Amino acid sequence: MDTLLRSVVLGIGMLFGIIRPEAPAVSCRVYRDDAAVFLNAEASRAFPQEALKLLESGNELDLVFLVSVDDRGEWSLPHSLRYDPLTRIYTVGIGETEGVHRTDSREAALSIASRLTGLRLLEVAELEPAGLSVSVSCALESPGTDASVIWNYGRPEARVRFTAASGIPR
Amino acid sequence: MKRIIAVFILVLMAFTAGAESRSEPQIAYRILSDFVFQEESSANDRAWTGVMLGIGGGLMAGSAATWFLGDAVAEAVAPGNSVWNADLKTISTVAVGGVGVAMAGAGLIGVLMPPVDVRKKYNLVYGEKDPVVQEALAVAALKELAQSAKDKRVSSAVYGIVTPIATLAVQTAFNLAMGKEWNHDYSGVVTWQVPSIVSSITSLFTLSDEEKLYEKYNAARAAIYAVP
Repeated sequence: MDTLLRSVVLGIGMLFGIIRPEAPAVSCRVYRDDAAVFLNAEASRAFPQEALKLLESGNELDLVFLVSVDDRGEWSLPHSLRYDPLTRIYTVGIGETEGVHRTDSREAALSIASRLTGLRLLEVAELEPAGLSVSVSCALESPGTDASVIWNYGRPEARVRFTAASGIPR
Repeated sequence: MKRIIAVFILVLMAFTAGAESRSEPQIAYRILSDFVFQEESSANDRAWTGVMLGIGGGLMAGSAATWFLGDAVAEAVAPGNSVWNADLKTISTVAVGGVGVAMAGAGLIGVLMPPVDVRKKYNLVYGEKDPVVQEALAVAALKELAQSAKDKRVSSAVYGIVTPIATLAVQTAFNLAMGKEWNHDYSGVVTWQVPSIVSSITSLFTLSDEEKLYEKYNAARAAIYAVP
């Protein structure tokens, strides 16, 4: 109920322009080695003050990276953030590695959650001669809360396209 | 049934292979470590202690020589002179010896001083076992270093610009109070203050070493994540 009320307040605040969150953005870099093609991505300004309040009041936040390669479907890679007010420890769960990182530094936790590093997209042998198209978008989710209101219902996206496989940087 | 299980396992394997990822390179950690190493080297550079001990020891030896051989040397250089007397001998011995003891003492303190532990300041980073968290903490440390260096640089530059202006204002008020031209003796003040103003303006637009470290990290980050 409390979180619902918070969402409503945030929504009203944004509707009247009282709360103006800086728009989040996502950037990405696709590169390859001899065997595979990888992706690095970073979401900037993903956690404005409202998100931090939500997080530090005991709610879980998921920054979900949605990655699609050509028409091979979409991967949903959640980076979950939790805060324990008793121990003051932030826990970051990284979906793609299933790694869990704990720190008492908020800045470190947010920085870990905001990045997707070295995601193996496909093998070099699987590359189509026509090239490669990769898109990365982000969504902010929180179980039981409409967290997308924090981003003003926006979903930042970055796209890269290589017309030939040889054009992918190393 | 076996076929369904096989397909399920294949799909699972495909997803696992796709979601495999490399660990993040520890760029910030390396930059910070290099900075800490340089800071440690310069903070623990004890070359000056040898120089101080050498000069101090030399002066103490000179002091002893003045006391024991001063009379003979003075007599040999200028026989029967009246300048060199017991008072001058005592003053010379004490003065030279005193400076020698002070310099040798400072050198000895330098030698005995415990090494400066710069790493202690970054215990949070160096004590972290998880490389991902360690890198993120190193980024935060670099950012904090840069911010504090920027604050210091800007406040020092503002002080350097405001002080000459305030000096000129005081000079003007003084001139008017004394019934002189408002800009009387301005040239002296301006000439004296110009280097300070120029250096302050220059420092306002010149990044400090710590800020350059963070810039270096940001350049690396932009290359890794294509951050605009």
